[in-house]
Amino acid sequence: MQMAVPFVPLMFESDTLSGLVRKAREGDLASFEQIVRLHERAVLGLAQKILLNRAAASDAAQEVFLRLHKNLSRLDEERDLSAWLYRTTSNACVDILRRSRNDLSLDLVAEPIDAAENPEQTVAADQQKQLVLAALKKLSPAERQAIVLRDLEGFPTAEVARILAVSEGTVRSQISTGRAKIKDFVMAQLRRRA
Amino acid sequence: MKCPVTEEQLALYAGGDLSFDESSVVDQHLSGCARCNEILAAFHFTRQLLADAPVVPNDADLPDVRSGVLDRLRRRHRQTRCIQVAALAASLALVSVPFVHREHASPHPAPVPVASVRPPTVPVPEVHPSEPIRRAVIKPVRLRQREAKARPELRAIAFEPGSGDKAMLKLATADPNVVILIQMNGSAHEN
Repeated sequence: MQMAVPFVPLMFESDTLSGLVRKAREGDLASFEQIVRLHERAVLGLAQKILLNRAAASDAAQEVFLRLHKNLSRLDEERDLSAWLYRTTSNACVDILRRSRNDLSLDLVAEPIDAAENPEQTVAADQQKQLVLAALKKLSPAERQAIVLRDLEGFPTAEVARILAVSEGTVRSQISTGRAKIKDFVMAQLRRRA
Repeated sequence: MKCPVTEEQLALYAGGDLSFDESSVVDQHLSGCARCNEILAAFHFTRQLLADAPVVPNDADLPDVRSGVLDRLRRRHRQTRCIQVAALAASLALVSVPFVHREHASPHPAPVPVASVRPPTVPVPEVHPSEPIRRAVIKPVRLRQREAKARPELRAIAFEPGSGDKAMLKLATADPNVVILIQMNGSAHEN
């Protein structure tokens, strides 16, 4: 199945970004604020998908940008920035998941379906969506970050491996285990309800 | 009979994550295995659910994230400047402490037992008014080096961050009666 999300994670004019990065390195907070504005949606969105918890996702996003500010001088090329941000966000989320022993409350919900046409079918579909998010919560932190990057963000396996700084074999193992766990959980719940 | 294709392979096949050769093997097996087709259908179903169930992006939290980051960076920036000022003040104090201590110590010389005082046996040389008076010259650099080697004056430096931008630099000398306090206000240096 091909994902609708194209593999262009962060679009920006490189001249603008390199200028902002240069000024931010010199201590210009206004330029750093512009960098934050350019990437905050991607960072917070990824954190929300991995953590499924609003407060924890906000904490993770803040941590990522503070780490970015600290490491600006080490990021040589701006094209590394998006991969660096995805990797740091994933790692920050995994740290939070491990600290909380993978027990954060699920307070982010799937987009509701328009109930105008068939209300009964809509309720069932919404329940299934919530079910799949609950299944996502059952995964280990490493499996969850691999599944979110591959199946929700739409990155190819090789790119997921690059972002997470692990081998492609490790990513394949994590996504196959993750998909199997989600399938088993969802099918078991649906059988029980039926 | 046990299937040659594992569930892990089917999970990867469902997401298009197998190589061409691996996929060919699975394709061939699927053409004659109802059980694996059933498992594959379940994988497709749950993957579709996952793709159709995007988490509602909560943009309401974006301003909080941004302001949280920038507030912390501004605070850190002020603290850094405060510490720089403190370091400057400390180095200035290090230069001045030996002089302060000497001035403080000179009015209170150590008591000398009266019984041990003897009249001088060496005659005091006469001073002729025609000879120029030699003045003692204190060289601060030499004095500082000597004091730094013996470390008799400055015993401790304490930097105490206070509320807001205020901070206190405390320099304790060898003399318990002499403590130098330098109060700093970071906000006064703000642009």
